Amino acid sequence: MGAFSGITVFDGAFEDILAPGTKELLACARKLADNLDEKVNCILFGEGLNESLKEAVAFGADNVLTADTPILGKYNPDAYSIALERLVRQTASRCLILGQTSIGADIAPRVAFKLGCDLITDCVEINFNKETESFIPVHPIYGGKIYAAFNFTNQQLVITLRQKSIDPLDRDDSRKGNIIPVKVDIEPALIKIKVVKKIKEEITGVRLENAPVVVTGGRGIGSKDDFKYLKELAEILSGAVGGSRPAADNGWVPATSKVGLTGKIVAPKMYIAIGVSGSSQHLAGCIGSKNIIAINNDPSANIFKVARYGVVGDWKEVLPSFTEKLRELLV
Amino acid sequence: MGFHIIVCAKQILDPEGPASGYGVNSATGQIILPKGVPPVINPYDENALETALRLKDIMQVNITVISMGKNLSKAVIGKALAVGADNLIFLQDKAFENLDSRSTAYIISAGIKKLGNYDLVLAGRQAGDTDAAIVPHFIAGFLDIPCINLVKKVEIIERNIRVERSLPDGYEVLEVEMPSLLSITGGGDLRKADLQQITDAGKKPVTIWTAENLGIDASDLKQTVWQKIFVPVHEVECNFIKADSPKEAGAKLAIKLREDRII
Ligand SMILES: Cc1cc2nc3c(=O)[nH]c(=O)nc-3n(C[C@H](O)[C@H](O)[C@H](O)COP(=O)(O)OP(=O)(O)OC[C@H]3O[C@@H](n4cnc5c(N)ncnc54)[C@H](O)[C@@H]3O)c2cc1C
Repeated sequence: MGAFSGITVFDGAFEDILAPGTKELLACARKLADNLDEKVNCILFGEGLNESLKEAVAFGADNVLTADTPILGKYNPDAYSIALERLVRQTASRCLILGQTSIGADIAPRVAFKLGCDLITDCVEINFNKETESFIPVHPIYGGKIYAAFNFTNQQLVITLRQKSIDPLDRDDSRKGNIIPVKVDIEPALIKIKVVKKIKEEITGVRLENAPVVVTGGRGIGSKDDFKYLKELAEILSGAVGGSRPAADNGWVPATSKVGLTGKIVAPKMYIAIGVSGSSQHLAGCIGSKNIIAINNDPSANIFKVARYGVVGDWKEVLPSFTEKLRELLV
Repeated sequence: MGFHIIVCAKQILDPEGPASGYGVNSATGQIILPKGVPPVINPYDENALETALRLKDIMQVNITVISMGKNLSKAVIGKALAVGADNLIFLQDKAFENLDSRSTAYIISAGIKKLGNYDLVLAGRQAGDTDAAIVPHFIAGFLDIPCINLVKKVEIIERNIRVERSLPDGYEVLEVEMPSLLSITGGGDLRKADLQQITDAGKKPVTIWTAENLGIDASDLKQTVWQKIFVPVHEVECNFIKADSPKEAGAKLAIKLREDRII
């Protein structure tokens, strides 16, 4: 493909930690690059990066480019997009992959616009056709009711990958790669957006995105107070509580606990959906779960189509005995 | 002198409709859309409009709603006028169908440029049909103004915009100067209009601008091209727990999960 070569992944590595999502991007890029017999570049921004750079190699990168500059220490959309655009031009990458995260989804369109290239966001797969040398990213549309596969041959491309769409490679510390510090000067006048402060929500217990068990309540729960029964169940199972969009919009769970297309993507061993109808947008965030268990009083609810276990009934009657029996079985 | 806020609103099929009507025509490879699902204003665009209306509640604001498409319905988008928008503009042309994000953003930005002066552009974080979340950023790109996405709260202080942007572990506060574009997530459900407002809105005119009015050459526009579309299959066989009472079913579910070594 002429001037372009290599697959580049980009992410922030804050506090020098390589995020699980970055490892997924590396696995995806590695597969594509091996097909093309080309290199995987990993661009990481942050401050004081060291361990994360070596980790990026261990998880699949050939070249790790890092711009260790105070201005890139924390996320700023202007600074990040200016710096990333320059590095992608320098590396002449044929494909740039970011995560569909609060940073990736914000930076990808900015960089694609500046590069003037095509962009496909929120992909669940990126396939490659060896014969035609084309990239085939798959992006769910209509909330996931339909999947659309695109085809790009001979052109530069930016893609964002949905979280948990691919497993990371196993860590391999014997893997060799180059760590390349790069210099990026950004004129302060180009920074139009000022990040004033960041407010972190306090979380108690297990993080939703890593929890082995997720107990999610939907509109059918009916009130914030009633979520205490879901918390009780989650605690017994060392899990976390999530909510559908109505549950989050009504403030029954924090906004950061929303599961779905526009919330968190989770893939626990056990996903217990209570009073959740199973809209395509909700399923987008939990379909990777190993076992979906549903409690819903509507036997025709869509959630039962994807659930391995189901109880048709009013959760107020089903849940107490379920929780009690579990407590008994788990002692 | 007040502020001029432009809200971008897309007409889409109600995304809350059941999955069952969606399919793929195996002969043509084209999408089959469900019958009987009504068109609506994209829900996140409604949040953007509500955000504008809340600013209008407390300060002098003029709201223009701008919508791009081929067959736009005043009965659908006109709701914006009933709840308090001042002007409605349709960017409508037979060439404006099934376009990719860049062409869509190009047309909308042409409409905004034609409007001339504005202080703030709001759009929903993503449309519930294409689910791409690209157009807001690209509109800002064409207008060469700053863009902040995932905004859940907006405050205007003189000519400064102060926003809260949602993050997976909380939110951040950002500041930017006017004019800027914000893509909105949340910010409240769109208020309801009363009968009088609906009647009055019916009498308000809609301005229609075509490709020609906007000085757009249809041959510069690019359509979305799919290699293939398909209906994903996620279905599994559900083990329904049978019992005499819901209470008993709850206990039996726990026992079944233990038997199957799920717990
Ligand atoms: C662009 C876009 C993005 C979206 N993103 C998301 C997202 O990220 N996450 C998300 O969740 N949604 C999202 N949605 C919204 C989605 O379309 C649905 O509206 C939402 O998922 C429905 O939530 P629910 O299942 O809680 O509510 P409902 O669909 O109202 O379902 C409630 C269920 O509870 C059951 N129920 C009621 N009472 C009881 C009872 N006593 N006992 C047992 N069961 C009971 C009912 O039978 C019903 O099945 C998005 C929508 C759009 C357009």
